[in-house]
Amino acid sequence: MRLSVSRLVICLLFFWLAPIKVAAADEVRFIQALADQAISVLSDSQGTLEERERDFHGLLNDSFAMSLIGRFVVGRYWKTMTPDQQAEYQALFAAWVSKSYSARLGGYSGQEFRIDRTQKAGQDDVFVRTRIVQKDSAPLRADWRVRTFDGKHKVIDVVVEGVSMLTTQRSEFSAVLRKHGPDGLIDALQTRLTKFPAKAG
Amino acid sequence: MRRWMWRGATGTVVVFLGLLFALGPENGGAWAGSFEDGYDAYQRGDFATARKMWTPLAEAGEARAQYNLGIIYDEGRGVAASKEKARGWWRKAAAQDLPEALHNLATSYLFGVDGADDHAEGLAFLAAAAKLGLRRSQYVLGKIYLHGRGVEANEAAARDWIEKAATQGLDRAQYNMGKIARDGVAGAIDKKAAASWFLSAAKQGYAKAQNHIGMRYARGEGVERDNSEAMFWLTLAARQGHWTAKINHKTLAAKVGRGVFADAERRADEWKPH
Repeated sequence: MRLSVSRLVICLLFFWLAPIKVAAADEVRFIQALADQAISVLSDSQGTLEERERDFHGLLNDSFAMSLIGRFVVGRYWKTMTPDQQAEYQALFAAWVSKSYSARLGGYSGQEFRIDRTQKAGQDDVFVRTRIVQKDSAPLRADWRVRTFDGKHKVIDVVVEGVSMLTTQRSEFSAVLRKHGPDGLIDALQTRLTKFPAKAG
Repeated sequence: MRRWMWRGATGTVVVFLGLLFALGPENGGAWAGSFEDGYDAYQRGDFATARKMWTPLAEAGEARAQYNLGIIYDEGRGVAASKEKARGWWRKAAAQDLPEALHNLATSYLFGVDGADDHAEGLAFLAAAAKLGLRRSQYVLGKIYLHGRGVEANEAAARDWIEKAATQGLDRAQYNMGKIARDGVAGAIDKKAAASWFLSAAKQGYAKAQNHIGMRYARGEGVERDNSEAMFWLTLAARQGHWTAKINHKTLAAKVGRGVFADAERRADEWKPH
């Protein structure tokens, strides 16, 4: 019962949204700085795209509350993992999130990154609502949920075109966990990360 | 001209960073360009141009263009991500035996993480890529057989595939060969071989292997006992955040002299994976 209540509280903290516009200059500055860094790293003419993106992964890792997100998406299975499994899972999860989201949200040539507005989310968080305008395709809506930890801002979720990273990963992972357990999830993440990049020739 | 534009919440700030590559027609239409031109655009981050250059090539049956379009859709580069479209292009390239297409296609089906839960189909593609010599495919296939993930566990097949990948230098495969030799999976227990595999993976920077070889040096298991080497490898693994290595490192640090500890720290500062 206690477990269920605590899980309910966590879910409410993550997903309860009060549609109140707030002046959240710090959060806007934080997201703007992240976008500026993305532009700086990804538009560098040195190195291959894969090398530039590896640098960007480091930035995303620092800007996302990876351990909190990682714990949330495995839910109750977290406590069934050994410390080594937890550490391995967290490292793989962070690598996967950085890789998949930098490809979709990075500051590449021909993109415009616009901050539209901010909105309060739950008790403590702020949504920074943005649009990524791309050449020859529809603009991508990306909403960044920002929380403050010890005075430092961190992204705890990205909602791309209305689809939350947290809820998507949680539902994908719970299916794998039910079928294969924590080691299976680690294998699945490792397998995902073995995908090959685009071919040069 | 490559252009960057930034608009803040309180106003509009336009930031120009370099040149935007404005190529070709504004909307739709086939683009004349080689595979290499498409790859240059892709490297610049101009995914729309890359897609337009590769599409006619892919439709004409060019396997590399089919494979790269699969990447664009899989990762949502300049388009809405679509695992289904990605698999569609990879299937075409895989039909031409492009190993990377077979591997990526396999990973998209395995474990049901990309919205297509067909483990058996994934395994078939993975086996085809492994037979073509891709070490990543050999390793993943070996692990699937080892743990019986969606198949009946088969230790001999597991060992065979993992050893093939390890021999080709894949660090995780070398680490797993270390465990296989240590435990005598589908063969005799061989502590010397185990230590040798762990060392190979450790030298490439694999934290788990660094912890294992560190402990082997500390115990003299498969290698001659050497607290300096043990301290060095455990230091490297602990610095990477390996939980058990941190404990092993702390325990050993309490036993060895200050000189051994300092020497390991210095060597770890200078060490680079190779």
